[in-house]
Amino acid sequence: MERLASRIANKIALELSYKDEQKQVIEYGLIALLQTLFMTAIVLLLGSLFNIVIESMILCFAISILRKYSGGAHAGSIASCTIIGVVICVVFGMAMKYLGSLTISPVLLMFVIILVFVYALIIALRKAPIDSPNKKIRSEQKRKKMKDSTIILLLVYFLISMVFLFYINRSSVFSSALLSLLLSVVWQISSLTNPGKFVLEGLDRLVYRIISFGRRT
Amino acid sequence: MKKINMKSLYAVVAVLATFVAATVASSACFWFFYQPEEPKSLQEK
Repeated sequence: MERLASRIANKIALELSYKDEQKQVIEYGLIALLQTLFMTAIVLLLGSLFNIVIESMILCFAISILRKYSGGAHAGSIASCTIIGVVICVVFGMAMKYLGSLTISPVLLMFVIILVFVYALIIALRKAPIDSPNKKIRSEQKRKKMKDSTIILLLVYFLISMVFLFYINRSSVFSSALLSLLLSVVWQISSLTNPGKFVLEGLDRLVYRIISFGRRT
Repeated sequence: MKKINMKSLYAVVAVLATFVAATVASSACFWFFYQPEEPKSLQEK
């Protein structure tokens, strides 16, 4: 994907006589665009195949949007990131679809919602945003702005959870959608903590070994 | 004629990619768990 973005950026820079700086920006934008489209398409495809489109798309978008403001642990390569992201969206989506089909008391769900968002707010207030070595957040003003955006987004997710809970008796879709949203929050917020970072780095190493093994054979 | 059309296409892709790069620059990271090195011109001073 990075090679493709680089080739397209080179071609554009050559044809439009752009400077190296402009080429780098185009390449960066293309990587973001291609990765977002590619990953969303795979999740959508596998979601349709396993009949978990709603659950997997909620996981994909809720994690990614929250991550844009809160940051968190990172994978070492774009391939590793895509594989881990797709597996998480599909496997978690399947699990939430199954859990959503069970009869869970709305009172218990309400309790879980409160628990999840209190945990998320505590971690976000203490840790967010976590930057990456490739993209440092240098100004304190931006750091504060991103923390505020994380808190606001968590409150928006809380309101959406309440809407899902309100309609939960109408269809099991609302139940699995609610559980998917809650799991997205737990997963993403946990990636700001040391145990979450440890898990993600472990997954990254595992995927790296699988890719390396696949290339050798 | 074909050359002009291709140039227009390159210009559209360039504008779109620059817009996406600028949008991503204001966030903490890319889509999901990967963050390539940010171009210097997009970095906050």
